[in-house]
Amino acid sequence: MDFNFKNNPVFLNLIKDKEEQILARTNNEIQDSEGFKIIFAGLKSMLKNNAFSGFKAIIMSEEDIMKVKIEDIADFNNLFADEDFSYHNLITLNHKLFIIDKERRSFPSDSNEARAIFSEISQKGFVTFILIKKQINYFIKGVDNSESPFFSLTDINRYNKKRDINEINDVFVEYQESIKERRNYCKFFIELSHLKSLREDLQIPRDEEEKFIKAHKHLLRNKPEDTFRDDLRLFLTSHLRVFQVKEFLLENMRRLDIFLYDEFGEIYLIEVKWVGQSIHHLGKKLGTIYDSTNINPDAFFQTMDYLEELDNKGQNIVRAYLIVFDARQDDLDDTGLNFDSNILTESQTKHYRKFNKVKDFRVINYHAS
Amino acid sequence: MDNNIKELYSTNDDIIFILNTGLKIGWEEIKPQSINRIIYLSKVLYTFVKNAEPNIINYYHFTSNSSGPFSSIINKSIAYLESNEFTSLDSSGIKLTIPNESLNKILDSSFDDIKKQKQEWYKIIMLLLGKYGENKIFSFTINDPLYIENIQSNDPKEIDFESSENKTLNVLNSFKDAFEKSINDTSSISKEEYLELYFDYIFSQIIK
Repeated sequence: MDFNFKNNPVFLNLIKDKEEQILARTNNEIQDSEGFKIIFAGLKSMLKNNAFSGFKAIIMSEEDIMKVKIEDIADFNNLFADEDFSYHNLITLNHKLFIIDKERRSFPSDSNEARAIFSEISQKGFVTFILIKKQINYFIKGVDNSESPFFSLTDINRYNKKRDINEINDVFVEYQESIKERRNYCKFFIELSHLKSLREDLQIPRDEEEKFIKAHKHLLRNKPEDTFRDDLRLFLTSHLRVFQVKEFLLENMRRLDIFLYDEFGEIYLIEVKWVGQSIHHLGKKLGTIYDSTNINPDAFFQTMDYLEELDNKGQNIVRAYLIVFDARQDDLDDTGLNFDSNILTESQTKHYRKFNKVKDFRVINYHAS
Repeated sequence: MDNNIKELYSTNDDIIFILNTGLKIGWEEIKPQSINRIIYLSKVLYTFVKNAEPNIINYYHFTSNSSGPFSSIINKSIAYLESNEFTSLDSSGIKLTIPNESLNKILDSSFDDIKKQKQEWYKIIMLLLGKYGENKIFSFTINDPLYIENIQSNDPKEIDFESSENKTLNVLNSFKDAFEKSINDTSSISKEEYLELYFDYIFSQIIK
Protein backbone atom coordinates (compact mmCIF):
# COMPACT_ATOMS: atom_id res chain seq x y z
CA MET A 1 0.00 0.00 0.00
CA ASP A 2 1.31 3.45 -0.90
CA PHE A 3 1.28 5.52 2.28
CA ASN A 4 2.76 8.64 0.73
CA PHE A 5 -0.61 10.26 0.27
CA LYS A 6 0.34 13.91 -0.08
CA ASN A 7 2.65 13.31 -3.03
CA ASN A 8 0.52 10.72 -4.77
CA PRO A 9 -1.16 12.39 -7.77
CA VAL A 10 -3.71 9.59 -8.19
CA PHE A 11 -4.80 9.92 -4.58
CA LEU A 12 -4.88 13.73 -4.79
CA ASN A 13 -7.09 13.48 -7.89
CA LEU A 14 -9.33 10.99 -6.17
CA ILE A 15 -9.94 13.47 -3.34
CA LYS A 16 -10.51 16.30 -5.78
CA ASP A 17 -13.06 14.22 -7.69
CA LYS A 18 -14.86 13.26 -4.51
CA GLU A 19 -14.65 16.66 -2.83
CA GLU A 20 -18.38 17.19 -2.85
CA GLN A 21 -19.13 13.77 -1.36
CA ILE A 22 -16.41 14.13 1.26
CA LEU A 23 -17.62 17.53 2.43
CA ALA A 24 -21.24 16.39 2.37
CA ARG A 25 -20.25 13.58 4.67
CA THR A 26 -18.05 15.54 7.05
CA ASN A 27 -20.71 18.25 7.32
CA ASN A 28 -23.45 15.74 8.07
CA GLU A 29 -24.07 15.99 11.79
CA ILE A 30 -26.33 12.95 11.85
CA GLN A 31 -23.81 10.65 10.23
CA ASP A 32 -21.19 12.10 12.51
CA SER A 33 -23.20 11.52 15.66
CA GLU A 34 -22.45 8.88 18.25
CA GLY A 35 -26.02 7.63 17.89
CA PHE A 36 -25.74 6.97 14.19
CA LYS A 37 -22.41 5.19 14.62
CA ILE A 38 -23.78 2.99 17.41
CA ILE A 39 -26.83 1.99 15.37
CA PHE A 40 -24.81 1.35 12.23
CA ALA A 41 -22.17 -0.72 14.09
CA GLY A 42 -24.87 -2.70 15.92
CA LEU A 43 -26.78 -3.50 12.74
CA LYS A 44 -23.54 -4.41 11.01
CA SER A 45 -22.55 -6.92 13.67
CA MET A 46 -26.02 -8.45 13.69
CA LEU A 47 -25.75 -9.06 9.97
CA LYS A 48 -22.30 -10.52 10.41
CA ASN A 49 -23.41 -12.83 13.21
CA ASN A 50 -25.99 -14.33 10.90
CA ALA A 51 -28.78 -12.99 13.04
CA PHE A 52 -30.43 -11.85 9.84
CA SER A 53 -30.23 -12.51 6.13
CA GLY A 54 -33.44 -11.19 4.60
CA PHE A 55 -34.81 -7.73 4.04
CA LYS A 56 -35.89 -5.12 6.54
CA ALA A 57 -36.28 -1.37 6.73
CA ILE A 58 -35.49 0.20 10.09
CA ILE A 59 -36.30 3.82 10.63
CA MET A 60 -35.48 6.22 13.45
CA SER A 61 -36.38 9.86 13.72
CA GLU A 62 -33.41 12.19 13.39
CA GLU A 63 -34.21 13.43 16.87
CA ASP A 64 -34.03 9.90 18.30
CA ILE A 65 -30.78 9.14 16.49
CA MET A 66 -29.17 12.19 18.06
CA LYS A 67 -30.32 11.04 21.51
CA VAL A 68 -28.87 7.51 21.34
CA LYS A 69 -26.35 6.90 24.12
CA ILE A 70 -24.35 3.75 24.44
CA GLU A 71 -25.17 3.41 28.11
CA ASP A 72 -28.96 3.69 27.50
CA ILE A 73 -29.59 1.34 24.61
CA ALA A 74 -31.00 -2.14 24.82
CA ASP A 75 -29.16 -5.13 23.38
CA PHE A 76 -29.21 -5.56 19.60
CA ASN A 77 -29.46 -9.31 20.11
CA ASN A 78 -32.74 -8.87 21.98
CA LEU A 79 -34.05 -6.63 19.23
CA PHE A 80 -33.26 -9.17 16.54
CA ALA A 81 -34.77 -11.97 18.63
CA ASP A 82 -38.01 -10.02 19.08
CA GLU A 83 -41.01 -11.65 17.41
CA ASP A 84 -42.40 -8.31 16.21
CA PHE A 85 -39.06 -7.49 14.70
CA SER A 86 -38.92 -10.82 12.87
CA TYR A 87 -42.42 -10.62 11.47
CA HIS A 88 -42.53 -7.00 10.29
CA ASN A 89 -40.42 -5.43 7.60
CA LEU A 90 -40.78 -1.74 8.45
CA ILE A 91 -39.71 -1.09 12.01
CA THR A 92 -39.54 2.22 13.81
CA LEU A 93 -37.16 2.37 16.77
CA ASN A 94 -36.70 4.95 19.47
CA HIS A 95 -33.43 6.10 20.97
CA LYS A 96 -33.34 3.17 23.39
CA LEU A 97 -33.73 0.67 20.57
CA PHE A 98 -37.33 -0.15 21.49
CA ILE A 99 -39.83 -0.82 18.72
CA ILE A 100 -42.35 2.01 18.69
CA ASP A 101 -44.04 1.18 15.41
CA LYS A 102 -44.13 -1.80 13.09
CA GLU A 103 -45.64 -2.63 9.77
CA ARG A 104 -45.60 -5.44 7.26
CA ARG A 105 -45.60 -3.63 3.99
CA SER A 106 -45.29 -4.76 0.43
CA PHE A 107 -42.31 -2.96 -1.09
CA PRO A 108 -41.66 -2.92 -4.85
CA SER A 109 -39.50 -5.71 -6.21
CA ASP A 110 -37.79 -3.20 -8.47
CA SER A 111 -34.83 -1.69 -6.62
CA ASN A 112 -35.19 1.73 -8.22
CA GLU A 113 -38.82 2.05 -7.18
CA ALA A 114 -38.02 0.79 -3.68
CA ARG A 115 -35.10 3.21 -3.41
CA ALA A 116 -37.42 6.13 -4.20
CA ILE A 117 -39.75 5.10 -1.37
CA PHE A 118 -36.95 4.88 1.21
CA SER A 119 -35.48 8.14 0.05
CA GLU A 120 -38.88 9.76 0.53
CA ILE A 121 -39.24 8.36 4.06
CA SER A 122 -35.86 9.79 4.95
CA GLN A 123 -36.90 13.20 3.65
CA LYS A 124 -39.61 13.23 6.29
CA GLY A 125 -37.06 13.33 9.10
CA PHE A 126 -36.37 9.61 9.49
CA VAL A 127 -32.97 8.08 9.07
CA THR A 128 -33.72 4.95 7.08
CA PHE A 129 -31.60 1.79 7.28
CA ILE A 130 -32.27 -0.94 4.78
CA LEU A 131 -30.91 -4.32 5.76
CA ILE A 132 -30.61 -6.54 2.76
CA LYS A 133 -28.79 -9.85 3.05
CA LYS A 134 -25.42 -8.84 4.55
CA GLN A 135 -25.49 -5.21 3.46
CA ILE A 136 -26.76 -2.01 5.00
CA ASN A 137 -28.07 0.79 2.84
CA TYR A 138 -29.10 4.00 4.50
CA PHE A 139 -30.68 7.31 3.68
CA ILE A 140 -30.31 10.57 5.54
CA LYS A 141 -32.45 13.50 4.43
CA GLY A 142 -33.10 11.83 1.09
CA VAL A 143 -29.43 11.17 0.37
CA ASP A 144 -28.61 7.59 -0.53
CA ASN A 145 -25.53 6.20 1.26
CA SER A 146 -25.71 2.64 0.14
CA GLU A 147 -23.29 -0.25 0.34
CA SER A 148 -25.36 -2.18 -2.15
CA PRO A 149 -27.36 -1.13 -5.20
CA PHE A 150 -30.18 -3.50 -4.20
CA PHE A 151 -33.35 -2.56 -2.40
CA SER A 152 -35.34 -5.71 -3.02
CA LEU A 153 -34.70 -9.40 -2.40
CA THR A 154 -36.01 -10.23 -5.87
CA ASP A 155 -33.31 -8.08 -7.43
CA ILE A 156 -30.52 -9.36 -5.23
CA ASN A 157 -31.47 -13.00 -5.81
CA ARG A 158 -31.56 -12.42 -9.53
CA TYR A 159 -28.17 -10.78 -9.33
CA ASN A 160 -26.68 -13.64 -7.32
CA LYS A 161 -27.61 -16.04 -10.11
CA LYS A 162 -25.60 -14.00 -12.55
CA ARG A 163 -22.08 -14.74 -13.64
CA ASP A 164 -18.91 -13.05 -12.64
CA ILE A 165 -17.52 -10.37 -14.95
CA ASN A 166 -14.44 -12.50 -15.67
CA GLU A 167 -16.81 -14.78 -17.62
CA ILE A 168 -17.80 -11.98 -19.97
CA ASN A 169 -16.37 -13.79 -23.01
CA ASP A 170 -18.65 -16.77 -22.35
CA VAL A 171 -21.58 -14.37 -22.07
CA PHE A 172 -20.64 -12.86 -25.44
CA VAL A 173 -20.80 -16.36 -26.94
CA GLU A 174 -24.22 -16.91 -25.33
CA TYR A 175 -25.37 -13.63 -26.78
CA GLN A 176 -24.18 -14.61 -30.25
CA GLU A 177 -26.23 -17.77 -29.92
CA SER A 178 -29.28 -15.90 -28.68
CA ILE A 179 -29.40 -13.56 -31.68
CA LYS A 180 -29.79 -16.55 -33.96
CA GLU A 181 -33.30 -16.96 -32.57
CA ARG A 182 -36.04 -15.35 -34.59
CA ARG A 183 -37.66 -13.55 -31.68
CA ASN A 184 -34.30 -11.90 -30.98
CA TYR A 185 -32.98 -11.05 -34.43
CA CYS A 186 -36.27 -9.79 -35.90
CA LYS A 187 -36.00 -6.54 -33.91
CA PHE A 188 -32.90 -5.52 -35.88
CA PHE A 189 -34.38 -5.75 -39.39
CA ILE A 190 -37.15 -3.89 -41.16
CA GLU A 191 -40.44 -5.72 -41.38
CA LEU A 192 -41.58 -7.71 -44.41
CA SER A 193 -44.45 -5.29 -45.04
CA HIS A 194 -41.92 -2.46 -45.05
CA LEU A 195 -39.75 -4.32 -47.55
CA LYS A 196 -42.76 -4.69 -49.81
CA SER A 197 -43.63 -1.02 -49.68
CA LEU A 198 -39.99 -0.14 -50.24
CA ARG A 199 -40.05 -2.11 -53.48
CA GLU A 200 -42.92 0.08 -54.60
CA ASP A 201 -41.13 3.25 -53.46
CA LEU A 202 -38.07 2.22 -55.42
CA GLN A 203 -40.30 1.47 -58.43
CA ILE A 204 -39.17 -2.14 -58.78
CA PRO A 205 -41.66 -4.17 -60.81
CA ARG A 206 -44.09 -6.25 -58.75
CA ASP A 207 -43.02 -9.50 -60.41
CA GLU A 208 -39.56 -8.97 -58.95
CA GLU A 209 -40.86 -8.71 -55.38
CA GLU A 210 -39.63 -12.09 -54.25
CA LYS A 211 -36.18 -11.44 -55.65
CA PHE A 212 -36.16 -7.97 -54.07
CA ILE A 213 -37.10 -9.31 -50.66
CA LYS A 214 -34.44 -11.98 -50.80
CA ALA A 215 -31.80 -9.44 -51.78
CA HIS A 216 -32.80 -6.86 -49.13
CA LYS A 217 -34.03 -8.82 -46.16
CA HIS A 218 -30.77 -7.93 -44.33
CA LEU A 219 -31.80 -4.24 -44.36
CA LEU A 220 -31.54 -2.91 -40.84
CA ARG A 221 -33.96 -0.54 -39.21
CA ASN A 222 -33.00 3.10 -39.04
CA LYS A 223 -30.34 3.91 -36.39
CA PRO A 224 -29.37 0.28 -35.89
CA GLU A 225 -26.54 1.34 -33.56
CA ASP A 226 -29.13 2.21 -30.91
CA THR A 227 -30.97 -1.11 -31.22
CA PHE A 228 -27.78 -3.18 -31.15
CA ARG A 229 -26.33 -1.28 -28.22
CA ASP A 230 -29.49 -1.43 -26.11
CA ASP A 231 -30.04 -5.10 -26.84
CA LEU A 232 -26.49 -6.08 -25.91
CA ARG A 233 -26.52 -3.86 -22.83
CA LEU A 234 -29.72 -5.47 -21.58
CA PHE A 235 -28.33 -8.95 -22.17
CA LEU A 236 -25.06 -8.23 -20.38
CA THR A 237 -26.63 -6.58 -17.36
CA SER A 238 -29.10 -9.43 -16.98
CA HIS A 239 -26.40 -12.11 -17.26
CA LEU A 240 -23.41 -10.59 -15.49
CA ARG A 241 -22.89 -9.27 -11.97
CA VAL A 242 -22.30 -5.75 -13.18
CA PHE A 243 -23.91 -2.37 -13.01
CA GLN A 244 -24.22 0.02 -15.86
CA VAL A 245 -23.80 3.70 -16.23
CA LYS A 246 -26.54 4.59 -18.67
CA GLU A 247 -24.87 7.45 -20.39
CA PHE A 248 -21.22 8.25 -19.99
CA LEU A 249 -20.06 11.28 -21.88
CA LEU A 250 -16.45 12.06 -22.50
CA GLU A 251 -15.21 15.62 -22.46
CA ASN A 252 -15.83 16.19 -26.14
CA MET A 253 -19.39 14.89 -25.64
CA ARG A 254 -18.60 11.60 -27.35
CA ARG A 255 -20.78 8.97 -25.81
CA LEU A 256 -19.46 5.62 -24.66
CA ASP A 257 -21.77 2.87 -25.82
CA ILE A 258 -21.69 0.53 -22.85
CA PHE A 259 -19.96 1.37 -19.64
CA LEU A 260 -20.12 -1.31 -16.95
CA TYR A 261 -18.59 -1.56 -13.52
CA ASP A 262 -18.30 -4.55 -11.26
CA GLU A 263 -18.82 -4.83 -7.51
CA PHE A 264 -15.32 -3.48 -6.84
CA GLY A 265 -15.95 -0.42 -9.02
CA GLU A 266 -13.64 -1.59 -11.79
CA ILE A 267 -14.71 -0.49 -15.21
CA TYR A 268 -15.32 -2.26 -18.49
CA LEU A 269 -16.21 -0.38 -21.61
CA ILE A 270 -17.72 -1.68 -24.79
CA GLU A 271 -17.80 0.11 -28.11
CA VAL A 272 -20.54 -1.12 -30.43
CA LYS A 273 -20.34 -0.85 -34.22
CA TRP A 274 -22.18 -2.44 -37.09
CA VAL A 275 -21.58 -3.29 -40.71
CA GLY A 276 -24.29 -3.79 -43.31
CA GLN A 277 -26.98 -1.48 -44.60
CA SER A 278 -29.82 0.34 -42.87
CA ILE A 279 -33.00 1.90 -44.18
CA HIS A 280 -33.13 5.65 -44.72
CA HIS A 281 -34.73 7.48 -41.81
CA LEU A 282 -37.81 8.33 -43.89
CA GLY A 283 -38.12 4.65 -44.76
CA LYS A 284 -38.56 5.13 -48.47
CA LYS A 285 -35.09 4.45 -49.73
CA LEU A 286 -31.92 2.62 -48.84
CA GLY A 287 -29.78 4.26 -46.17
CA THR A 288 -26.29 4.08 -44.69
CA ILE A 289 -23.82 1.35 -45.60
CA TYR A 290 -20.89 0.44 -43.38
CA ASP A 291 -18.26 -2.11 -44.28
CA SER A 292 -15.09 -3.48 -42.71
CA THR A 293 -13.07 -0.42 -43.70
CA ASN A 294 -15.15 1.57 -41.24
CA ILE A 295 -14.07 -0.81 -38.50
CA ASN A 296 -10.48 -1.64 -39.28
CA PRO A 297 -8.67 0.48 -38.26
CA ASP A 298 -10.96 3.47 -37.41
CA ALA A 299 -13.06 1.81 -34.71
CA PHE A 300 -9.93 0.25 -33.19
CA PHE A 301 -8.34 3.68 -32.91
CA GLN A 302 -11.50 5.20 -31.54
CA THR A 303 -11.75 2.63 -28.74
CA MET A 304 -8.08 3.00 -27.88
CA ASP A 305 -8.54 6.78 -27.71
CA TYR A 306 -11.41 6.32 -25.25
CA LEU A 307 -9.17 4.13 -23.13
CA GLU A 308 -6.51 6.79 -23.13
CA GLU A 309 -8.90 9.58 -22.26
CA LEU A 310 -10.40 7.64 -19.36
CA ASP A 311 -6.98 6.58 -18.16
CA ASN A 312 -5.90 10.22 -18.10
CA LYS A 313 -8.92 10.96 -15.94
CA GLY A 314 -7.75 8.34 -13.43
CA GLN A 315 -10.53 5.83 -14.24
CA ASN A 316 -9.47 2.28 -13.66
CA ILE A 317 -10.50 0.56 -16.88
CA VAL A 318 -9.95 -3.17 -16.75
CA ARG A 319 -10.81 -3.91 -20.35
CA ALA A 320 -12.27 -2.34 -23.47
CA TYR A 321 -14.13 -4.43 -26.02
CA LEU A 322 -14.92 -3.61 -29.61
CA ILE A 323 -18.07 -5.38 -30.71
CA VAL A 324 -19.21 -5.39 -34.31
CA PHE A 325 -22.64 -6.58 -35.40
CA ASP A 326 -22.23 -8.01 -38.86
CA ALA A 327 -25.48 -7.72 -40.84
CA ARG A 328 -23.87 -7.83 -44.26
CA GLN A 329 -25.69 -9.73 -46.93
CA ASP A 330 -22.86 -12.17 -47.54
CA ASP A 331 -20.77 -14.21 -45.16
CA LEU A 332 -17.52 -12.30 -45.11
CA ASP A 333 -14.38 -12.40 -43.00
CA ASP A 334 -14.34 -10.94 -39.50
CA THR A 335 -14.08 -7.16 -39.66
CA GLY A 336 -11.05 -7.21 -37.37
CA LEU A 337 -9.08 -9.62 -39.52
CA ASN A 338 -5.50 -8.60 -40.18
CA PHE A 339 -5.56 -5.57 -37.92
CA ASP A 340 -2.00 -4.32 -37.88
CA SER A 341 -1.02 -3.23 -34.38
CA ASN A 342 2.21 -1.74 -35.77
CA ILE A 343 0.23 1.25 -37.03
CA LEU A 344 -0.79 2.25 -33.50
CA THR A 345 0.72 5.41 -32.12
CA GLU A 346 3.01 5.09 -29.12
CA SER A 347 0.33 6.19 -26.71
CA GLN A 348 -2.32 3.89 -28.29
CA THR A 349 0.09 0.95 -27.96
CA LYS A 350 0.19 1.56 -24.22
CA HIS A 351 -3.55 0.86 -24.05
CA TYR A 352 -3.68 -1.94 -26.59
CA ARG A 353 -3.10 -4.63 -23.95
CA LYS A 354 -6.47 -3.75 -22.43
CA PHE A 355 -8.22 -3.93 -25.76
CA ASN A 356 -10.21 -6.86 -27.17
CA LYS A 357 -11.81 -7.14 -30.56
CA VAL A 358 -14.59 -9.66 -30.03
CA LYS A 359 -15.42 -11.98 -32.93
CA ASP A 360 -18.14 -10.30 -35.03
CA PHE A 361 -21.71 -10.91 -33.93
CA ARG A 362 -23.28 -12.22 -37.12
CA VAL A 363 -26.90 -11.20 -37.47
CA ILE A 364 -28.89 -12.87 -40.20
CA ASN A 365 -32.53 -12.38 -41.01
CA TYR A 366 -33.19 -16.05 -41.67
CA HIS A 367 -36.93 -15.48 -41.97
CA ALA A 368 -38.12 -11.97 -42.70
CA SER A 369 -41.31 -11.40 -40.79
CA MET B 1 -0.10 1.11 45.44
CA ASP B 2 2.57 -0.66 43.48
CA ASN B 3 2.74 0.77 39.97
CA ASN B 4 2.40 -2.64 38.33
CA ILE B 5 -0.77 -3.39 40.26
CA LYS B 6 -2.12 0.07 39.43
CA GLU B 7 -1.50 -0.52 35.74
CA LEU B 8 -3.10 -3.94 35.93
CA TYR B 9 -6.23 -2.41 37.50
CA SER B 10 -6.33 0.27 34.82
CA THR B 11 -6.05 -2.43 32.17
CA ASN B 12 -8.86 -4.39 33.84
CA ASP B 13 -11.06 -1.28 33.68
CA ASP B 14 -10.16 -0.71 30.04
CA ILE B 15 -10.92 -4.26 29.01
CA ILE B 16 -14.23 -4.30 30.84
CA PHE B 17 -15.18 -1.02 29.19
CA ILE B 18 -14.22 -2.39 25.78
CA LEU B 19 -16.17 -5.61 26.32
CA ASN B 20 -19.23 -3.68 27.47
CA THR B 21 -19.06 -1.26 24.54
CA GLY B 22 -18.63 -4.24 22.23
CA LEU B 23 -21.71 -5.84 23.71
CA LYS B 24 -23.73 -2.70 23.04
CA ILE B 25 -22.83 -2.82 19.37
CA GLY B 26 -23.58 -6.51 19.08
CA TRP B 27 -20.15 -8.07 19.69
CA GLU B 28 -21.15 -10.65 22.26
CA GLU B 29 -17.60 -11.88 22.71
CA ILE B 30 -14.31 -10.34 21.74
CA LYS B 31 -11.25 -12.44 21.04
CA PRO B 32 -8.14 -11.76 23.19
CA GLN B 33 -6.18 -10.92 20.03
CA SER B 34 -8.83 -8.32 19.12
CA ILE B 35 -8.52 -6.75 22.59
CA ASN B 36 -4.77 -6.40 21.99
CA ARG B 37 -5.43 -4.89 18.56
CA ILE B 38 -8.15 -2.49 19.74
CA ILE B 39 -5.91 -1.14 22.49
CA TYR B 40 -2.97 -0.96 20.10
CA LEU B 41 -4.99 1.08 17.59
CA SER B 42 -6.30 3.25 20.43
CA LYS B 43 -2.77 4.02 21.49
CA VAL B 44 -1.28 4.53 18.04
CA LEU B 45 -4.10 6.77 16.80
CA TYR B 46 -4.30 8.88 19.96
CA THR B 47 -1.38 11.14 19.11
CA PHE B 48 -2.84 12.05 15.75
CA VAL B 49 -6.13 13.26 17.19
CA LYS B 50 -4.87 14.72 20.45
CA ASN B 51 -1.68 16.30 19.09
CA ALA B 52 0.91 16.88 21.78
CA GLU B 53 -1.24 15.80 24.70
CA PRO B 54 0.44 13.05 26.72
CA ASN B 55 -0.91 9.65 25.72
CA ILE B 56 -3.44 8.61 28.37
CA ILE B 57 -2.77 4.94 27.78
CA ASN B 58 0.98 5.03 27.78
CA TYR B 59 1.14 2.12 30.28
CA TYR B 60 0.70 -0.30 27.38
CA HIS B 61 3.93 -1.55 25.83
CA PHE B 62 3.58 -3.47 22.60
CA THR B 63 5.83 -5.82 20.71
CA SER B 64 4.99 -7.43 17.40
CA ASN B 65 4.48 -10.91 16.18
CA SER B 66 3.00 -12.10 12.91
CA SER B 67 -0.54 -12.08 14.28
CA GLY B 68 -0.26 -8.43 15.30
CA PRO B 69 0.97 -6.36 18.21
CA PHE B 70 0.52 -7.64 21.74
CA SER B 71 1.08 -6.33 25.21
CA SER B 72 1.85 -8.60 28.15
CA ILE B 73 -0.21 -6.55 30.58
CA ILE B 74 -3.33 -7.14 28.45
CA ASN B 75 -2.79 -10.87 28.57
CA LYS B 76 -2.22 -10.71 32.34
CA SER B 77 -5.40 -8.75 32.77
CA ILE B 78 -7.41 -11.18 30.63
CA ALA B 79 -6.25 -14.01 32.90
CA TYR B 80 -6.99 -11.95 36.01
CA LEU B 81 -10.52 -11.08 34.90
CA GLU B 82 -11.29 -14.68 34.08
CA SER B 83 -9.91 -16.07 37.31
CA ASN B 84 -11.97 -13.54 39.26
CA GLU B 85 -15.06 -14.50 37.26
CA PHE B 86 -15.55 -11.07 35.75
CA THR B 87 -15.35 -12.70 32.34
CA SER B 88 -15.42 -16.10 30.74
CA LEU B 89 -13.27 -17.20 27.86
CA ASP B 90 -14.04 -19.81 25.24
CA SER B 91 -13.17 -20.35 21.59
CA SER B 92 -15.48 -17.48 20.47
CA GLY B 93 -13.74 -15.01 22.75
CA ILE B 94 -14.14 -13.20 26.05
CA LYS B 95 -17.56 -12.51 27.47
CA LEU B 96 -18.59 -10.37 30.42
CA THR B 97 -20.11 -12.43 33.22
CA ILE B 98 -20.06 -9.82 35.95
CA PRO B 99 -23.44 -8.81 37.48
CA ASN B 100 -24.88 -5.49 36.30
CA GLU B 101 -24.53 -3.73 39.61
CA SER B 102 -20.81 -4.44 39.90
CA LEU B 103 -20.36 -3.67 36.22
CA ASN B 104 -21.90 -0.23 36.62
CA LYS B 105 -19.58 0.49 39.54
CA ILE B 106 -16.53 -0.49 37.50
CA LEU B 107 -17.66 1.59 34.53
CA ASP B 108 -18.47 4.63 36.63
CA SER B 109 -16.06 7.42 35.78
CA SER B 110 -17.86 10.33 37.40
CA PHE B 111 -15.03 10.90 39.89
CA ASP B 112 -12.12 10.06 37.66
CA ASP B 113 -11.42 12.44 34.81
CA ILE B 114 -8.66 10.37 33.21
CA LYS B 115 -10.87 7.29 33.24
CA LYS B 116 -13.62 9.33 31.60
CA GLN B 117 -11.25 10.56 28.88
CA LYS B 118 -10.04 7.02 28.25
CA GLN B 119 -13.59 5.73 27.97
CA GLU B 120 -14.49 8.49 25.51
CA TRP B 121 -11.45 7.62 23.43
CA TYR B 122 -12.07 3.86 23.44
CA LYS B 123 -15.65 4.54 22.43
CA ILE B 124 -14.47 6.58 19.43
CA ILE B 125 -12.16 3.76 18.34
CA MET B 126 -14.76 1.04 18.93
CA LEU B 127 -17.37 2.91 16.91
CA LEU B 128 -14.84 3.49 14.18
CA LEU B 129 -14.08 -0.23 14.06
CA GLY B 130 -17.72 -1.16 14.58
CA LYS B 131 -18.50 0.15 11.14
CA TYR B 132 -16.51 -2.74 9.67
CA GLY B 133 -16.88 -5.46 12.32
CA GLU B 134 -14.55 -7.25 14.71
CA ASN B 135 -13.23 -9.53 11.98
CA LYS B 136 -11.72 -6.56 10.15
CA ILE B 137 -9.64 -5.31 13.10
CA PHE B 138 -6.82 -7.67 12.17
CA SER B 139 -6.58 -6.21 8.66
CA PHE B 140 -6.47 -2.66 9.99
CA THR B 141 -3.79 -3.56 12.51
CA ILE B 142 -1.48 -5.40 10.16
CA ASN B 143 -1.79 -2.52 7.71
CA ASP B 144 -0.74 -0.04 10.36
CA PRO B 145 2.52 1.62 9.24
CA LEU B 146 4.18 1.59 12.67
CA TYR B 147 3.41 -2.11 13.10
CA ILE B 148 4.62 -2.89 9.55
CA GLU B 149 7.87 -1.09 10.24
CA ASN B 150 8.38 -2.96 13.50
CA ILE B 151 7.55 -6.44 12.19
CA GLN B 152 9.77 -5.94 9.15
CA SER B 153 12.83 -5.16 11.22
CA ASN B 154 15.08 -8.15 11.79
CA ASP B 155 14.73 -7.92 15.52
CA PRO B 156 11.25 -6.70 16.46
CA LYS B 157 11.42 -4.96 19.79
CA GLU B 158 9.03 -2.79 21.74
CA ILE B 159 7.13 -0.52 19.40
CA ASP B 160 8.18 3.08 19.91
CA PHE B 161 5.13 5.37 19.87
CA GLU B 162 6.91 8.45 21.15
CA SER B 163 9.55 8.92 18.48
CA SER B 164 9.21 11.79 16.02
CA GLU B 165 9.65 9.10 13.37
CA ASN B 166 6.31 7.56 14.39
CA LYS B 167 5.31 6.09 11.03
CA THR B 168 1.57 5.98 11.66
CA LEU B 169 1.50 9.59 12.75
CA ASN B 170 3.48 10.60 9.65
CA VAL B 171 1.15 8.63 7.37
CA LEU B 172 -1.96 10.13 8.94
CA ASN B 173 -0.49 13.62 8.64
CA SER B 174 0.37 12.93 5.01
CA PHE B 175 -3.23 11.74 4.50
CA LYS B 176 -4.54 14.95 6.07
CA ASP B 177 -2.11 17.08 4.03
CA ALA B 178 -3.40 15.44 0.85
CA PHE B 179 -6.93 16.60 1.71
CA GLU B 180 -5.72 20.09 2.51
CA LYS B 181 -3.87 20.16 -0.80
CA SER B 182 -6.84 19.00 -2.87
CA ILE B 183 -9.82 20.63 -1.15
CA ASN B 184 -10.04 24.40 -0.79
CA ASP B 185 -11.60 24.54 2.64
CA THR B 186 -11.06 21.62 4.97
CA SER B 187 -12.02 23.48 8.13
CA SER B 188 -15.14 21.31 8.51
CA ILE B 189 -13.09 18.09 8.66
CA SER B 190 -12.16 17.19 12.22
CA LYS B 191 -9.25 14.95 13.17
CA GLU B 192 -11.69 12.17 14.05
CA GLU B 193 -13.26 12.50 10.63
CA TYR B 194 -9.84 12.19 9.03
CA LEU B 195 -9.47 8.94 10.94
CA GLU B 196 -12.79 7.72 9.56
CA LEU B 197 -11.85 8.72 6.04
CA TYR B 198 -8.49 7.00 6.48
CA PHE B 199 -10.08 3.76 7.69
CA ASP B 200 -12.58 3.89 4.85
CA TYR B 201 -9.74 4.28 2.40
CA ILE B 202 -7.65 1.48 3.94
CA PHE B 203 -10.74 -0.75 3.99
CA SER B 204 -11.40 -0.08 0.32
CA GLN B 205 -7.80 -1.09 -0.41
CA ILE B 206 -8.08 -4.24 1.72
CA ILE B 207 -11.13 -5.56 -0.15
CA LYS B 208 -9.63 -4.87 -3.57
